[in-house]
Amino acid sequence: MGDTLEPIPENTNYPLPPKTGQVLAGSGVGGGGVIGAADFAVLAVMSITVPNGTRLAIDASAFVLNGGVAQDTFTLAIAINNAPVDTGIVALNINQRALLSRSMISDLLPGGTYTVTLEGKSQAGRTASTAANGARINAVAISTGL
Amino acid sequence: MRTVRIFIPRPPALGKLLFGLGTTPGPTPVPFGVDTVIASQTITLPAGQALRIITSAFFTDVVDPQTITLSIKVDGVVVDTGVVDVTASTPALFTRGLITGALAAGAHLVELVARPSGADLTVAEDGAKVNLIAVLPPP
Repeated sequence: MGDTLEPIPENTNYPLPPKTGQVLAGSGVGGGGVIGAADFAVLAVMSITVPNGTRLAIDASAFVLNGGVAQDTFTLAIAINNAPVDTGIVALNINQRALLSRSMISDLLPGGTYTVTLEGKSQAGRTASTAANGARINAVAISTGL
Repeated sequence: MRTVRIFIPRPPALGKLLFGLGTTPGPTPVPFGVDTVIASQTITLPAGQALRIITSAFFTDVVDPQTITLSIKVDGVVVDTGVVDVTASTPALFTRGLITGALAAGAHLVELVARPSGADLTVAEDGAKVNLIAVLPPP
């Protein structure tokens, strides 16, 4: 994971910029999964193709169950093309179910197709899980007119 | 030649967004074990638009630890659901959003539904909201 955001090169058929007052949007949902300790697990994923000079307004959320053996802390990250752009830690009691939400706006992006993911990792080596359709990542392209 | 006119909602004018704001006017009781609509909103769209749906709810009067099932419905169909735990005497705020696929032209009803598992709850005054913004899905 690096600090520089590069568009996926295959798709050069960029869409026209959204007209003023219109917004391009995409949504991704996770099929349910386990948050382990080894590495970040992808909880939800989506892709969106945007014109040059665009920012992404990203909303991420997950219904999470701590199914481990004790209280644990979990790192949640929003990533664009595998580069984390938003990271935080939350604590959940054993068997606690919670809805965790986070929103952000990206830096200016060059035109291209971007993969936006919500990822999670356990700090104590225990596991948590999201239900089917329980994790979502939503992105809205904001045209800056550049 | 015969001319047939079909009414189709116009796309948003340039510089304007189609949006809708739905909320509860006052404290709303939410009986346990019952799916209760705590906020709703209707919006009329031209063909091919998607909806960015933003929902949130403040719950009060949590007197017992229990679970709350939260669902978002579009035109009566559940499109998002999940379960959260709440503890006694702790007001809770939940926020969840999604973006639909392209929708047909016409009016669409979006509802936020809650079902407590263990005891009656209350949604605070203006405490539950369904906010909608019409957007274009990715090509």
